[in-house]
Amino acid sequence: MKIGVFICYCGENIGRTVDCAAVAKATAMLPGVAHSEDYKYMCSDPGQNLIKQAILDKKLDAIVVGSCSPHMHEKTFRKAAAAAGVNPYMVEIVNLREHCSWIHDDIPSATKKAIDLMRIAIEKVKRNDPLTPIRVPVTKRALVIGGGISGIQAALDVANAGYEVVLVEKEPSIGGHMSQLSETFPTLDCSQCILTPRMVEVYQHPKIKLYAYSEVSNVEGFIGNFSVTIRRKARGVRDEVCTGCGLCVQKCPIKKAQNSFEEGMAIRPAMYVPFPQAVPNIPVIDREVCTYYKNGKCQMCKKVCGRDAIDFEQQDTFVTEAIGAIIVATGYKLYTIDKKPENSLIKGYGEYGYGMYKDVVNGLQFERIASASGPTNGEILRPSDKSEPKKIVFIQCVGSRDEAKGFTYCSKICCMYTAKHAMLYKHKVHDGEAYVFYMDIRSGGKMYEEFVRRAIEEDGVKYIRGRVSKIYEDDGKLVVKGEDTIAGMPVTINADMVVLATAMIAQSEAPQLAQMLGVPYDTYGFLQEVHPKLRPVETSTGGIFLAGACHSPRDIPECVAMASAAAAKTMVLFGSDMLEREPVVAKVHADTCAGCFYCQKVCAYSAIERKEIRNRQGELIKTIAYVNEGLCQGCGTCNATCPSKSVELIGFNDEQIFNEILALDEVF
Amino acid sequence: MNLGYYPGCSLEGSAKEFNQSLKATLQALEVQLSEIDDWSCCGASSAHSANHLLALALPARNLLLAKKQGMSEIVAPCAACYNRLAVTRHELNNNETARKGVEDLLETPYSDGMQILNLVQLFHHIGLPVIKEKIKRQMSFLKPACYYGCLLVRPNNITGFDDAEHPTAMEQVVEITGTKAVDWNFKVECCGASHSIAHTKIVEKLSKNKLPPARCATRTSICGS
Amino acid sequence: MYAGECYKQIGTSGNTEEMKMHEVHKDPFIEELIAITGQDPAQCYQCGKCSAGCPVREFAEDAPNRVVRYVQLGFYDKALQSNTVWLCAGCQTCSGRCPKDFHLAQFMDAMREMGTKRHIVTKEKKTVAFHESFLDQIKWNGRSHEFGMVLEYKLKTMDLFKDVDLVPGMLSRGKLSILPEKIKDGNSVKKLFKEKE
Repeated sequence: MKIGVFICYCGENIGRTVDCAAVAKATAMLPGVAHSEDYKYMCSDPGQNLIKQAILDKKLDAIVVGSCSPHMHEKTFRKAAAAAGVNPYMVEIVNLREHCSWIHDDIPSATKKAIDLMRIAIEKVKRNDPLTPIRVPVTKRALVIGGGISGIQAALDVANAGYEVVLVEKEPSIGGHMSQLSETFPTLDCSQCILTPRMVEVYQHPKIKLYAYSEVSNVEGFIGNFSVTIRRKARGVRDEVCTGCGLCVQKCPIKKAQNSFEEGMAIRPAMYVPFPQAVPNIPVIDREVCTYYKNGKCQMCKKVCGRDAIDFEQQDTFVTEAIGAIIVATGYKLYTIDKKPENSLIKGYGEYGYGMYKDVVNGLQFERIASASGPTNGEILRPSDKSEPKKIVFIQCVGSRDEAKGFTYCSKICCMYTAKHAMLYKHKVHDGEAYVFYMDIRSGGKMYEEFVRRAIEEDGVKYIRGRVSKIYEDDGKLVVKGEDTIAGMPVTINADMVVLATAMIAQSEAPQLAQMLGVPYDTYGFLQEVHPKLRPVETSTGGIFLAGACHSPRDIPECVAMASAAAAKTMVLFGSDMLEREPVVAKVHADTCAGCFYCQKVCAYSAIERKEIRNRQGELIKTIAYVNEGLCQGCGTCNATCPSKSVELIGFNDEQIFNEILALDEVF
Repeated sequence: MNLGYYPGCSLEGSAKEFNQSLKATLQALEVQLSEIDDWSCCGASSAHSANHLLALALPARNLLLAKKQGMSEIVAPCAACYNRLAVTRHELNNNETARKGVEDLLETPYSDGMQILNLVQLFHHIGLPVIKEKIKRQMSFLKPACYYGCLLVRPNNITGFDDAEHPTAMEQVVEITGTKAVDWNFKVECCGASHSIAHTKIVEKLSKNKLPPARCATRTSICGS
Repeated sequence: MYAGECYKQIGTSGNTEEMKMHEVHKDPFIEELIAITGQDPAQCYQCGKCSAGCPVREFAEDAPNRVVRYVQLGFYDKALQSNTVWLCAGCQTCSGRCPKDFHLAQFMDAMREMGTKRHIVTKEKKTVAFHESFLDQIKWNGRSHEFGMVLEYKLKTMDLFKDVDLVPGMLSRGKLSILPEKIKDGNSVKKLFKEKE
């Protein structure tokens, strides 16, 4: 075998501490090496040409490049080798930069280490086999989890590109938090007016299959080949016959359930549609409240339904869908200041009354109060006595930027929506005073800063820089004790109402979903992208993409942009019929495998399957382990575990590894 | 029940009646107190303004004495003493540099094993049902407002009160006498006591700020210190 | 002087045994503060919640967060001279509510300690006199002796007649004793003051 060695200076990065010429010279002497040279930038066009030319001139079979991390340029050098007729898997990269020059400063010893590293790789490449990438088929059908604005956008984009979409929403209607909002910054257009056409489009789209009031219960398979089980929760109403006339909702006598769409500020019947523009417009029975489920009585809905759509005995059903790509758009939830926070890490805000003061509300509650379709029909009235608050205080960063009681991160949207809230208040209560307690105003975005200035300069909202220490009730007023840190003056406001801009936090089920999907999540429960800059919508699991606030706090335009990006990534995947992937996977040698299945127990990717070996007569000889190449990530755990050494990790087999170690003999 | 007792300087002087009523109460509850022999001042609230090691060494001397005298729980009725003893114990257990500094000053190694109780905690320790049985006269004619102040509840991670802003542990104690404690906004607010000599006006103002609402709500007000 | 001037980076290269990347060298004042309190004032992001809830805020020259700001900017004398440092009642309301878990009450304790050590002249002479008188009683007697403490305080401040009318009543109720009650092992307390002097 003829091996070519190429040493890159990486400008000064490697050249400063490693004597590259000396390394090239030393490796040239090693057995098997037919060519050795050094160059300033091996990744550059002339550098790649050096490799190609050497392959052609010296008829090389394999090459070893000493350069930066293989994360950077492994692809580049493999392509260069392939162009000159060498199998790309006959290329080894030695990381002379991160593993050597950057972490040492003594030239002789760094150079010696570089030569050692090169020798190891040369011993490995001698034992490399030419490999071909694994090819798997792609099911061109996307699953979108979550029917908020992100999920809606992603579903529409993929469907409009001509691919089928399965959209799963856990609530009875799609629309998400955006359907609760009054008006949107910075244009103050009505949220529902711009959202509902999209919701209808989803419902009418021939390529979109909507499962509302459903949850993903199981995900199996791998990129291009997922099998997803969806649990369709029992509505108690047969959606195939219901016309959505609403008579059952009207006649339901049990009108005392907490209305979660109105954030607990109104009640609704046991039979309900979350809001008038719900999609699909099919009611649901709240079994916790409905008297039929308690004592078998009432059945009013069943009596009035002209289509016989009510089915009290309806059970959850499960459907399985074949899916090629998954877009996760499960959104966020709002932090509440209640005394018993769900997350035990959060200590709660005793100084703001733990939610015991009725007129201290959160941002979403205020959205409903300000919304024309809300519990007050858009009039700004405080919850306790339905009077118009003449003095209102908005407090930002509640739960956000608070490592002691909430979360360290900035929730990003609160500065903008608080400015919007204060503005909406001033537009409706002309003689009212609005105060905003803030720490910093973060208004990065198109027309955002202008919007905040408008609230201050045109609408006269008073911004006070400082965090509020305490809120208490005194004589019907909420006493808000703050400090203006710019003036260096204490500020006490006797307010009629207080709005807390509480943090945007991860959905409580996000970690379970992430585990089901095999997607990493951060300490807050937000799902993790694979690269923060260059791959922001992809996850480390192939074929699973992220959209919207399930990834981090973000506003509507950002959610929509991210959703379209995730849709684009899905379409890229669906653009080809077959997928190629690295052939570095495990392989079980059938002749020695004893069928103990230790490998199956340790495999983190469920890639080990059972395979029956039969003789010509069809009699079962033994059952052995078999690696599903689509799922295997090449981690090598099975290889290390196998007691009979029957598992080989292709490209990293025992012979290769042992010879790498033996190459270090002289060092020891 | 037999417990170690750290009265603190004030209970020997200006808060003498507090000491007397406490002893009488505990006698009725069959709790024996043995005073730490040769205890010294905890240093509150001046020592921690002067030197951080002195502030820990003064209470530590008492903790060590109590341990030497075979005690494992000590009652410190004064809120300031309680706070200094509890904070010192926490620091010595968790801050190695501080522990070494204090050991150098005391010329003795420190070892933990001492539980420090304020009065509210003591009553919970004895057990509210036990106390309830021994109550001879219902006090339903009183409408007390409980005042915790600062030093009983803060820092909350050390004192371990049920809540830093809205504690109810004292209300639970008071209410076994048949009264209903009134809820009010200032139960953990500062009264300014550390300035009672040098800035009497500040103390008057801070206490007055709290008094009006307290006065309307109550006929009697109780305090931990 | 801006504190930033005294910041410098050390140890970014070198094959010494203790190679620390980007170790920021803090100036001695901050280092001393960290040694006493275990926390760096850089932690404070100046939200002002401490000042908003401070009971002595209205009597103090500077908002408590501003004292931290002076330290962050390197205006140490200005911070130590502020009467806020001495008016702090040690109630820890600030510490309990701080979103950054910065123990401001402990910071104020350290500022008093460091100010005294540096012989900073403060307007709060009465508070200083009170603390001195109080600690002297402990040093001499092992326990606080209220009569002796007030006597020393009055001599120090020449505020001779304040609260004198309270004395007969307190004496008759046994709340005030003229002579101190000394503890047996007085020396064991006295030696604890070594560090302070």
